Amino acid sequence: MKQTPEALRSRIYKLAESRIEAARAKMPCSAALFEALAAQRPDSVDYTLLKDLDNRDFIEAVFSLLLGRPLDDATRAAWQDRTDSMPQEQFRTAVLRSVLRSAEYQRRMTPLCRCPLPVAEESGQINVQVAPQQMPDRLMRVYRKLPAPMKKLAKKLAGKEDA
Amino acid sequence: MTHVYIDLSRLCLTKFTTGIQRVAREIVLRMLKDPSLEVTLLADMPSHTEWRVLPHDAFTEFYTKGTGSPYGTGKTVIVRPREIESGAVFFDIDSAWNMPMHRSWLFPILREHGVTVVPHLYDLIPVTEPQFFYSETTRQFLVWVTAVLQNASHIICNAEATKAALAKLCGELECDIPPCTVIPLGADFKQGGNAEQAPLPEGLTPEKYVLMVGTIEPRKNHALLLDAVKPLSERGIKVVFAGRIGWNMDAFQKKMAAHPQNGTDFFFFEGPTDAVIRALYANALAVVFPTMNEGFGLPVIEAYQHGTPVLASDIPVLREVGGELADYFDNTSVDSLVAAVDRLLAGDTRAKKKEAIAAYRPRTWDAAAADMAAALAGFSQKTGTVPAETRISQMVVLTARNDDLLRTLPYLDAFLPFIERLLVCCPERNIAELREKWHGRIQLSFFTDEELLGGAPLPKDHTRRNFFLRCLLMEKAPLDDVFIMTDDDYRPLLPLTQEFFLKDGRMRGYYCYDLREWYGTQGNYTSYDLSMFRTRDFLTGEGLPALQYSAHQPQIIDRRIYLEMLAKYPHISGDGLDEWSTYFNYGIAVHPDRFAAVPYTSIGWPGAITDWTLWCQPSGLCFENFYDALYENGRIFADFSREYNAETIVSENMEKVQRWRTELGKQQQTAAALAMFRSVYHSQYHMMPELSLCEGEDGAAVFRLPKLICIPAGAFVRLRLLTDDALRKKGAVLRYGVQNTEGRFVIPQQEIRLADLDSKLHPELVLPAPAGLLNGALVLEYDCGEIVRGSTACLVR
Repeated sequence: MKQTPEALRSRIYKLAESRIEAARAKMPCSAALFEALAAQRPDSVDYTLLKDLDNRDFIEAVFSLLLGRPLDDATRAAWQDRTDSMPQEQFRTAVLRSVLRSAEYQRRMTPLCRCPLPVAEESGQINVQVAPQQMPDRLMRVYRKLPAPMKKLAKKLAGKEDA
Repeated sequence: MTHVYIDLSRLCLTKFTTGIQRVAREIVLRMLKDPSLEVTLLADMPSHTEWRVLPHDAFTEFYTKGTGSPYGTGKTVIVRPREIESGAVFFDIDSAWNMPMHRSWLFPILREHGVTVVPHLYDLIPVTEPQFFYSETTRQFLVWVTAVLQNASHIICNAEATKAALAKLCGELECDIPPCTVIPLGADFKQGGNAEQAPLPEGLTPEKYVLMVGTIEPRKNHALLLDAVKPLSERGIKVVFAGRIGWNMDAFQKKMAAHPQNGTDFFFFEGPTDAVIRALYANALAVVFPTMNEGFGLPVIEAYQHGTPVLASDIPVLREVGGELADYFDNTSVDSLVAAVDRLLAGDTRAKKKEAIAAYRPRTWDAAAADMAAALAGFSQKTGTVPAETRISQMVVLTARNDDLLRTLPYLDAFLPFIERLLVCCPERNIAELREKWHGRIQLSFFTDEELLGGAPLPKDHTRRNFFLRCLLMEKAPLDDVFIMTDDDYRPLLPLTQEFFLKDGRMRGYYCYDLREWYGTQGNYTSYDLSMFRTRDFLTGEGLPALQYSAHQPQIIDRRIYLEMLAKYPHISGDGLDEWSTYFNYGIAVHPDRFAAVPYTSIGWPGAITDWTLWCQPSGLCFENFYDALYENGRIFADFSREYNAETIVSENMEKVQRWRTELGKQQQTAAALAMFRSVYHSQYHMMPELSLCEGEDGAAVFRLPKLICIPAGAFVRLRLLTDDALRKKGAVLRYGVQNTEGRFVIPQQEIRLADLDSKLHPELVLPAPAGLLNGALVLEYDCGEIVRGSTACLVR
């Protein structure tokens, strides 16, 4: 019998669940989380596949996918109150902000894609008027040919040390 | 010679080579020497979507002498899954379930490219007894097994018991069982025959204790033997555990420590040295193996190699591996275990067992590797199974346009010398003119629409009509078994042989896209687009690959396979599917030995290079999908002849190909610039620059936009706007455009009616960027009675 990958995964999950319950143990994750993790690409995290998870599964998925490890008990406990009480979007935004800014994530940098939450925002959009000005092309060509110390000096003189 | 690819990412990361990694090492080292195989060893790259090739010499050096690195020191050679050629074998002998390049992503790609997928199955215990594993291992294994069941061409099992367990699982899941071959593992590990033995630890007397060696974990069932300490001590037999403490054993560890006979009749040696292990084996009454389940049971063989009798769980895999030399007991019963010890103590049973074990010779790794190599070579030959003597001489075209066909015929005549006959399926009224005007080498024959339809009504829709007619054609027309199907405007650009279509025993299907990614003409879908969506839904629903083969160039067809497909799916002829994609995806899934998937080779597809974002680059440019419009003033081929001209055709075609390549190059540059922007944005903000239109917490529409977007000057860019389904209401309109700082639209405002989009696709913002630098703003409006606005900085440079 031909089955879609999702249908077959669902069946095998149920089978394992019945076995593990018979052994008086608990499945490692919910069926929804299992499918959300299974359907991901290996090189990025597609937020839309996590969209329908509840808050508990969401935080488990974020740790597994973005940090490459299961959620630890201490972190689970730290988020416990907010998992149950915070509105879903606020909770997710907070979880993602916290994970994406962690040193642990910055060592992995697995890209989070198709995420509509305002995770990167804190103070609104960049003002178009203050977007950095471009150096004229002719000057840019000269600048590129400068040795590194001279480049540094040129930046300092132009007041663009942080550019 | 069969080309075998082996991903050894786990082996390369493992410091201590035991278990599956030890198997992988032993087999692969031997396969590298097998002249019947061309082996490419692979290890994961950080992106987890491509591999680096492991040089054979570095790999061998590292795993035989322990020097250097398995990765080698030379230039890194990269292999991507889509680059593995049709007919090759992908052999998964390492523990692939915990690899980041997970198989639910990888295997379908390999399968749609005609690669033979052969996983090695060690056991199914994480499915049958998931309670014995780390939760993460269970989850990963379940995903892996699903991918195996759906995509494996063959499975190699290490034991008949594993094969039986797989058959049982498939029965429970109501899915087909892939073909399985049982190849037992080798076991002639070096035991260091004369190696030093430590003195027997204090408290133990030779032949007065039973031994259990290995990591203490729930599945190994140490608890049963611990419960047997008392009855065994009454017989003067002590119990010894040697190994490390595994996961989830805290309670058991306490139970061992608190055991009243601990240190007198029960001993636990944590992390013993090899010399101590050897002494324990050599002097034990027996090795006890009360495991609940095993993949293969190598410890049984290791005990035999030490000359020690074995008492093992009565489970199929241990019966298979242990044979008559072992004695068996019920792994849930202390009495059964004690009875087995009693049997061993009775009379000269132990002496006889030891004598028989002394004659035991384990299966060698050489034999196991040779059997695996032979099996892999048998699963897929590099040469496909289409007979070498197959000759293609017939071409078939469906047309109602005499002018187009008459303009195309000279190209076919000149550049496809192996084609002798062209069967033209056309209305009766077209035949006379074609007969009158064509006098070339290729012989025309005709089959009329009337003959084809036999009174059946002709569908009005273009693509429904095409597919319907082609299905009838396969059933009714005088076709060769293997022929070339074409359209009346597909022109070869250079001389081609039949090898272009049929090479190394495989029919080459030329694909141009992934149907799951096909966007079409957004919001104003053509008949062609709708056909692609229907074909996508049909193929994915049937679990078939879904590459898009309507590459707008002639393609080879095996009529028998087409008819086989129609017999399997009799309803589809009226469903308006894409005739090329349906056939080739079916063919490559069902007859991978007869097909090869190859990137397309046509120019003029798309008509304008900006019509859609290219999904793959052509593998060469051999055909032209002729569009009159491309020859009009200001268009890419304006200065070329539209007709065949023997004098100029070669130079003109060369130049056309060159121009097309330049256009392709521009799109590649745009894609690279956008990828660079996304990557820089990600490194700065730790998320991708996504544009979305979604429902906020209060249910109102809201735009969520990146801090800025940056697009290359002069490029034609498409950006996807992720849109919540709930906002695709009837009448809802999305408007977008790019304004300069004075508020003037420099990329004119455009409009998309959201309800008109295919439900699986998000709207695309199509942005033809101006040539110069610009600091502006991308401005969006969602209009559903009330207008919601959003904007973000847009830098064009």
